[in-house]
Amino acid sequence: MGPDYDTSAPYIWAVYGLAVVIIGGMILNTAIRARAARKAQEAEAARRPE
Amino acid sequence: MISYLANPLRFLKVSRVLAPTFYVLAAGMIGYSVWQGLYVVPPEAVQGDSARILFIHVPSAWLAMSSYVGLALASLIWFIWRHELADIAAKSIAPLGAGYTVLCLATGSLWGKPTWGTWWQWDDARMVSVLVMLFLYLGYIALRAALPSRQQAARAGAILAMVGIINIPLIKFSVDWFTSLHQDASILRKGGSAMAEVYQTPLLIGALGHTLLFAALVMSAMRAEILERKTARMRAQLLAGKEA
Repeated sequence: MGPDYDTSAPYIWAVYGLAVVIIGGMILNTAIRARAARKAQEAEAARRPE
Repeated sequence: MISYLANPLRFLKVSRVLAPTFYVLAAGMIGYSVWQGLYVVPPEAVQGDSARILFIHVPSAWLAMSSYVGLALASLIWFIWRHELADIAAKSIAPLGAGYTVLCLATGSLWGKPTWGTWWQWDDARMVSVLVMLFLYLGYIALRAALPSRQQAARAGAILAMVGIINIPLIKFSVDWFTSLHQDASILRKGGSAMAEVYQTPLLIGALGHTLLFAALVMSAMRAEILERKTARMRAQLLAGKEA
C-alpha cells in the first residue's frame, strides 16, 4: 500500500509518473540512438575494402 | 585548454569512463531523493503533501534553465572557435533540455492546481518565460533540422541559442520584477535559504543526481553524434572512391 497523502495525492502521483515517463523516455531514446550509431559505424567499417 | 577539451578522440576516451559513472551516481542520488520525497519527509506546514512535488519540479526547473545556458555557451564556443565538438554538444543538449523544460512546466502545473487553484496563468511572468524557453528549444531543434547543410544548421542554431539567452535572467528574476503567483526564491536568496533542512538536503541531493544524469545523457548523445558523423564521412569517402 502507498503512503496516505492528503487531497493532493493524485497530483503527487501524476508528477512522479510523468517524471518516470519523460526521463525514462530520454534515457531510452539516447540508448537506442547510441546503439544504432555504433551498429551503423560497424557496418560501414565492414563494407570498406581492405 | 578549449582546444585540449575539444578533441573528439579525447572526449570519446574520457566520456567512456565518465558517463557510466555518472549514470550510477545519478541513480543512487535520484532514488534517495524520490524515496525521501514520497515516504520520509513530513507534509509541509502550509502546502501539505503537495510540497512533495518539489523533489521533481525544482530539479527539472534547474536543469531546464542551466541546460539552456550550456546550449548558449556551446553555441558561443562554436561561433568563435568553430570547434566541431561544441556544435555536437549544443545539438545534443537541446532535446534533453527541452525534455526537462516540458517536465518543469507539467509538474509546475500539477503543483499549481492544488496550491494556487489554477493549472496555468497567462499573465504570470515566470510561467510564460519558461514556456518561451521551451519554444526556443523547439525552435532550435526545428531550425537545425530544416537547414540542408551541417554548417548552415550550426550557424543558424548558434545565433538563435545565443539570442535566446536573454530569456534566462528574465526567468530567474521574474518573481522579483513582476507580480507572480510563483513563490520567491527559497534557496538561493539574500539572507540564506528559507527551506527546512529536512526538505533541503534531499532536494539538493536530487538536483545533483539529475545534473549528473543530464551530463551522462549529453555525453552519450554526443558519442552517438560523433559516430554518426564519422559514419557519414566514411560513406562519402567510399562513394567518392567508387566514382573516381
